[in-house]
Amino acid sequence: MTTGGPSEKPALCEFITVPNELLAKVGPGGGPPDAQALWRAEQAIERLARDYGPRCSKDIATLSDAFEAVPDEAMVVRERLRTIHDIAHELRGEAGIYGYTLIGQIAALLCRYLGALDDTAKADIRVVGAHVDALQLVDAEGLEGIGGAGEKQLIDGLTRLQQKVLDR
Amino acid sequence: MAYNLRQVHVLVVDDNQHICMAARQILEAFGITRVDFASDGLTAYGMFQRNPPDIVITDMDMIGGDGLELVRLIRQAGDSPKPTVPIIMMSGHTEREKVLAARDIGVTEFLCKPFSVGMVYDRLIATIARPRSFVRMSSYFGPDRRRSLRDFQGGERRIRGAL
Repeated sequence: MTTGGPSEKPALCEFITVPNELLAKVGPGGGPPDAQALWRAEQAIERLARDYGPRCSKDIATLSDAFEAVPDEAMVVRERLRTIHDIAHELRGEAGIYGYTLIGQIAALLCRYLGALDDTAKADIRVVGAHVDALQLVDAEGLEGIGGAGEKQLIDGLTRLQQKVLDR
Repeated sequence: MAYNLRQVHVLVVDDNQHICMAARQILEAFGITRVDFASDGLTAYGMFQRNPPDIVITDMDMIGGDGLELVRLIRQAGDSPKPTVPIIMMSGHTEREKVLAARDIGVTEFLCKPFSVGMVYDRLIATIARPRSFVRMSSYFGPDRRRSLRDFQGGERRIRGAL
């Protein structure tokens, strides 16, 4: 590691050049991506995706149960929706990886809505419910999110609903 | 010719075992034979201290020591054995303030969830092929946060000799 060395004035900022140990380890390369490696990885993800479907349905059912357990009030403090947020957060990450794009998009929208609120702010339970219903519908219908008009309409509708409520 | 990743040692940190499994499958398909796992930041730091990997891939939000705290320990703790290790932070939190928080604590690359095979490959190769200088300031230690050189008209405050 080389550093800037001593200076008469106190250093405001020091650059450090770090030896590239990784490059030494992987040898010469840097050409186009290893197509075989990428293909193997895609195949591996496809295999995992086959197991993801049932788990995704289970997560959506758990999320729905959590929603049913929320107090029957029009506005609910965000903290009481933490379980719903956490499940949606995991759905957002996993569903997209395994090709369940529409579920990932709806989960991401739900996270965005809850994330836009302060800890003490209240969430409009109708907005949360609309996302839960959408997730259940997509799961029941087996929609994958490949860009159909109905799917776009669903995402646009949820986005508009959120905006309308947040702009109030 | 592509890089031979066989000898690369990666530590993956995520509290979702399924994400860990996906990461493992992808990394092994790339030829990486040594992939370790931890489900929280504190456990990960212990593993990092005992056997520093070549690359750390960590989630941002975890119960029991989150990813940002792990990055802070790796970069700043006095007992960190390899403070300049490349760190790829993966997160579904892609809001600007979250990404900036990751950058400002010393993350090397940011990987958005949901990730794809190509995205993981790109971030890995970036850490190898385009390593970044490190910067030490009173308030920051980590990779140079500037990705490109721009025309700067002000005075030079950096230590030229260090370049």
